[in-house]
Amino acid sequence: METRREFLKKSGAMALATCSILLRSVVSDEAGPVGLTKRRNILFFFPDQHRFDWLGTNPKLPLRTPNLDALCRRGARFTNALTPSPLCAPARACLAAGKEYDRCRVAGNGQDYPLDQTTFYTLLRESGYHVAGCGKFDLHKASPTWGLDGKHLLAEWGFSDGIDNAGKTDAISSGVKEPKDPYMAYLKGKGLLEIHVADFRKRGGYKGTFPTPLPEEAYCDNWVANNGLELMKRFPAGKPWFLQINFTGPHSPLDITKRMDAICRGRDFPQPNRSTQYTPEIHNAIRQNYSAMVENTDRWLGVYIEKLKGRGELDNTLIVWSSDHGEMLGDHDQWGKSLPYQPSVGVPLVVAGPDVRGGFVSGALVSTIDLAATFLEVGGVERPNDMDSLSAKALLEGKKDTHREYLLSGLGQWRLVFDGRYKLIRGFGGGKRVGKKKGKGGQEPKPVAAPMLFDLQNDPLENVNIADKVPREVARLSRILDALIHKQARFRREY
Amino acid sequence: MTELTRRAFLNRLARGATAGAFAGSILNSVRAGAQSTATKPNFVFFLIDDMGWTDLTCFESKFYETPNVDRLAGQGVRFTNAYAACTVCSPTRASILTGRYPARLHITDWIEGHKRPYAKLKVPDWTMYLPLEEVTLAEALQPAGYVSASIGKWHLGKEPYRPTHQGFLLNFGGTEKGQPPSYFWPYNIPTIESGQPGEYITDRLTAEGEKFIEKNKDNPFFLYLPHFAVHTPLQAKKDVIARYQAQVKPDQAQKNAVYAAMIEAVDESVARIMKKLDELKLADRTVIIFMSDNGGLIGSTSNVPLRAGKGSPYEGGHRTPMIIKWPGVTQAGTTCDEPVISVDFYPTMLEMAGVARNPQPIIDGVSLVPLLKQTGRLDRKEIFWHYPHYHPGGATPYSAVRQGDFKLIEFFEDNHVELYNLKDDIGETKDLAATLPEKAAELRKILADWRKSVGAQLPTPNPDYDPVKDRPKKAAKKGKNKKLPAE
Repeated sequence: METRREFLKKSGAMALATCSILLRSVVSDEAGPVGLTKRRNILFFFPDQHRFDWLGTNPKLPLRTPNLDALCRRGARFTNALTPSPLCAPARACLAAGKEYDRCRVAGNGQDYPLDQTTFYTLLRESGYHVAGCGKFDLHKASPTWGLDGKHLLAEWGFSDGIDNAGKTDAISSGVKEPKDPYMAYLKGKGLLEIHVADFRKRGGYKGTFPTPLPEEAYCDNWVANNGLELMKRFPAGKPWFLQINFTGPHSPLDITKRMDAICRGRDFPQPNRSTQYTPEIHNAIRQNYSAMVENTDRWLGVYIEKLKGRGELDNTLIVWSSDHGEMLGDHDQWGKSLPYQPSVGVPLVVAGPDVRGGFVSGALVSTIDLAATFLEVGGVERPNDMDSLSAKALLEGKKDTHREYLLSGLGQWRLVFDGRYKLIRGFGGGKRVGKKKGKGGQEPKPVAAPMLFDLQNDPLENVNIADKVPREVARLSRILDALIHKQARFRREY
Repeated sequence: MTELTRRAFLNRLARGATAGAFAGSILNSVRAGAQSTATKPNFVFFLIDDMGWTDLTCFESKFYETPNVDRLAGQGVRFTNAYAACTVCSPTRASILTGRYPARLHITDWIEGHKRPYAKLKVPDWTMYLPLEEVTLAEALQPAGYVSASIGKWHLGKEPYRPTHQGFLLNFGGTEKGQPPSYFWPYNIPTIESGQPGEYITDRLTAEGEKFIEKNKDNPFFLYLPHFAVHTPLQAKKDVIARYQAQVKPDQAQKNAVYAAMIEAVDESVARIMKKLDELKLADRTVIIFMSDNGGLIGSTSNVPLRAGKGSPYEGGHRTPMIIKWPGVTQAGTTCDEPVISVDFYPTMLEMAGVARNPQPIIDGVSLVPLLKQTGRLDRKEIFWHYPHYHPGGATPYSAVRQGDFKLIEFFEDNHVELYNLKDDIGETKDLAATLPEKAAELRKILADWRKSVGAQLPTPNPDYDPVKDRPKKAAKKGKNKKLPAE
């Protein structure tokens, strides 16, 4: 039993030590200069395949996302955000590395993230952040093994803690006989595995809009979100944290719970653009399901915000909502992603939190790769020179009104450049995908055809290819695209 | 369903969906009163197992004593022509939880049914669990913020089909089994982990019900209380048995003192729950429903004046006591003689809770709200039963229909029908099939059309039919507390 004097001496020494540690982390070269402000936490909602226009703020949609709407009012919503590559593995690799598609070294869903490529997760962790994540990371897309604890490769990617699980179809294809990921293992433990597999097998990609028999807490996104709350409970005190929730929805198949089904029916959604397939009822049901998944994620946003309030951390947390790519949802008779059209490459981007301008809607050109540098700057970590990512912190704070002059995106053979009005697409087959209608990862389009140009100011639905009408615009943007691609090549050679 | 214009119907859906979406987006159990002015009453649903039509004093029992259930009836509505959707338990329970006829669900017998391998007909390949695809009452109420518990007998499948995967937050005592191994602790029920020596299961379920109400007093709740009583094994507290034993007269129809004591425990359960509601000031915002899952078992009780009992196609098999108290709406101490059936609870409770329903999945029940509000009779003309099975209670595969006062039973073994006028002949003694052939033909066609519309499974001729080998089990001897057949 120590005396009061000894106790005071000890606490005094500890206080001194703590102060010096704090000072060191604030002033040190490794962390980068940040001043004496408290480092922000970052909550990153990253649903899969959430298209850019499917938010409650869109007056054309009977969509109810009250929490996301509130986030928009509190912060910034970007209407011209694009993914560097509209496919799961490349998009997530680009984000992790802060690099454009041609440099991220994950060309398609058949590649694992190269472990010798530094991620912003690692840089945050090394600077003292507790970096956590759950849901479908999809950084080892080629190798279907997550560890039954979901921890396979998390440390290598830069995470301090987390639970990785298979995406919707990967879960079924990998885990039917023997679970390979924690979600299928969880279902097996509850006796629900066969029921889930049977449900998916009769569901198909988009036509099956009936509810899943799974109970609420066993529905993947609810299970994922609960995992995130569990991770939060394990956050070490005194460290800033980063938490990425990789929801598996609204990616297809369109499984929703009975509760979600009861809520989403009876609402009429606008029909797809330039659609010649199926009936209005089928499209409407598909859109109801898609919306139900978005609304469910929104529901969780509300839960997390309450949780942050309870922890007294809401005021010190940057909250971001974005997605790895979009979803064609029947526009132009197309489904899924992989395409250069807006519904496929456009993503939502909403940011709120301390220092972020409130109630701000911006058409500034932002790529999701820019989140990497933004998170680093928020964390007071210096951005490595070989990243293509550019921090949008000044834009968020209202110190700037623009961000990039051009956005780049690509997959396989096609590339696009977007200047906020014109979108030039090169290397994409003939304007319409021929062959399999449903967009699936890794499919190559037909051989190179003529470039396509869309004027999104006058033709936001990209119905009219004006490449032949304004060849000068095509030439100008083509030169710019070449320069951007060349820059990538230069980077590749130098690094 | 009443006639609605498409616009009115969609408006109703949208209103319900708004309320549902709002409530759904708030995880904490907060009343959605902020959004709408409709109150969301709590529900306490007493489901008694095997209780006969005349097993309550307020339903004419001369031997059993149920002052508290009588008091409940005095505060609510007694339904004198109420029916279980099946002459045995599991299908009725499924019909309550889904609002769908057992024939549509293909859950048509107690799980897992008697085996009669040499009988004349082969039983169809029916479903022996409640599929998770079914939207249960608990799941339908959930978007409106209701928390639900199932305390007592489940009998609708083992894992993963148990209550906690079917919308109930809590399952106490529910398993795939249809009766408790013992009514006294230790019960040997896997979902009841602890207890005290001497504890009686009916009392224990009541205590758990009280706890659930306490815990959820600030939230709309649905307490589904499917008592194990009064199903076999007939076991009760000695002192209570003794009291009834002393009162038995040799000639009375109901004379099992153990059974009487079990009924008393049920009566006490109702008293305690009502007291708890009063204590927490929830009585005026809680709907209480009292029902049985099928008729009384001959051998434990008598259903006179009704013919036969559980496991038979006659009134004694299907007709049940039923009481609903809806505070502020039902008129105290009234009686309703409109035929109603257990599929009706689902749409009724949803309407009481202000939850609008989607047209999918198809619900067979109709809302009883017009009867409860006394604003009119139901639109529905016929109610149906379908039991393509054999039962020691006397049933051979049959379907039945009641239309007004008429009841037709169609027997599949030889395709003959029996027609009764229940108003003139509640005991089903006079078969009118020959004297009223048009009525019989009309009802037979209605029954056939209904079977087709719900996808009812029919028995098929049994290639192994052997009348010598097929020896149906006899029903248990009257009055003795013997080991009865497994169900």
